[in-house]
Amino acid sequence: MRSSRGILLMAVLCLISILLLLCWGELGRQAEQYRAARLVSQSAQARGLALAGLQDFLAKWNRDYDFPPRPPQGAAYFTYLEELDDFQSPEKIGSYRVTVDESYKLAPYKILRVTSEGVVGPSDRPQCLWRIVATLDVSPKSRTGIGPNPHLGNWIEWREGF
Amino acid sequence: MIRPGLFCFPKRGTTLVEAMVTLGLTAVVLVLFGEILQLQMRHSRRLDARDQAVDAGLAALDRVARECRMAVSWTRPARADHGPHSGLEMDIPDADQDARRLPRPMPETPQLPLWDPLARGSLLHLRYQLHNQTLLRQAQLEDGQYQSVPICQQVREFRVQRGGGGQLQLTLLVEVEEGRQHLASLVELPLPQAWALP
Repeated sequence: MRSSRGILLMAVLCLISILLLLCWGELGRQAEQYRAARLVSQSAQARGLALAGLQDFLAKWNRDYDFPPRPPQGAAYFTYLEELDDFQSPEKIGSYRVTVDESYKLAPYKILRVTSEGVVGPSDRPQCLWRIVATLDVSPKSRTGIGPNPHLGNWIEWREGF
Repeated sequence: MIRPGLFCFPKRGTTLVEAMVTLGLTAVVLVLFGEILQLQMRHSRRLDARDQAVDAGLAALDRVARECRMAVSWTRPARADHGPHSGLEMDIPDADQDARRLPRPMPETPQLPLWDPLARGSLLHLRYQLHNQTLLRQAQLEDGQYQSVPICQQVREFRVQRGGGGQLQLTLLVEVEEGRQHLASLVELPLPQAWALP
């Protein structure tokens, strides 16, 4: 008679264990969904940072005749990095790193290849990265005929997300 | 007489009625539990299938949007065409040909000819279209043939329409278990030659 009571207790414990396992599995699934949603929002944020980097470069290039500065002898790249603060907390939202390849600046190309990398999270613990490589037309003369270049100061090629 | 304590139980067990009632209740609990489990599994499977279809659609839209931003010349929809279309046709710079289309200028190399970013051979002609409910990405090879890659299944409709100010509206109608799911993406075209006349 003692054992029959024990069986009932064990059955109840088994049921509770199965229920807990189910809850655990469901919670794990929810966590995966939240993680996926966060990844989507972070990649959008990283893309926004990379776009901000390109806009920042364009603003500097438009206003400063000596920008980007001439790289040292033997080098073709100029890189700078800007970190962005969160208005509501002391933490950094992320950063963008802009790299300019000046090896195509002169004829026959007359272009600047600008790579902007948007990084979400502090620079020592990056969470998401988005890269845009854009080509800026710096030829004052038209490439196809005579007259001024209608695309001077515009992006003429664009690659992103790799 | 020994009193019942922690390690000592009264000798009396359960009566037949008590045992029957306990067994009956256990059976009811087990049946209910099984029903709930089955229902939950069915619901979760359906949600997973729907999520998968929607995720695949969103990934496809994201890929199309990225390549639209890279486009340097448009066949369909043309720059001034604001009507709805069921496909896309455009040229993007061929990244695999970078070494050929942009050879690095060296001091010892002879003067290169004038560079034309739209030169033949430096662009990749792309087509996106629907075929048997599958969204296909078709890239034109050097011999003129198209190489097709399916990027999304169970697509009922693919629609492209130009908006004002360099925008492109992409819409995908994906088949899910409960019906159809509308997915849309508004693409800002960053290259002025993709939306403004030179």
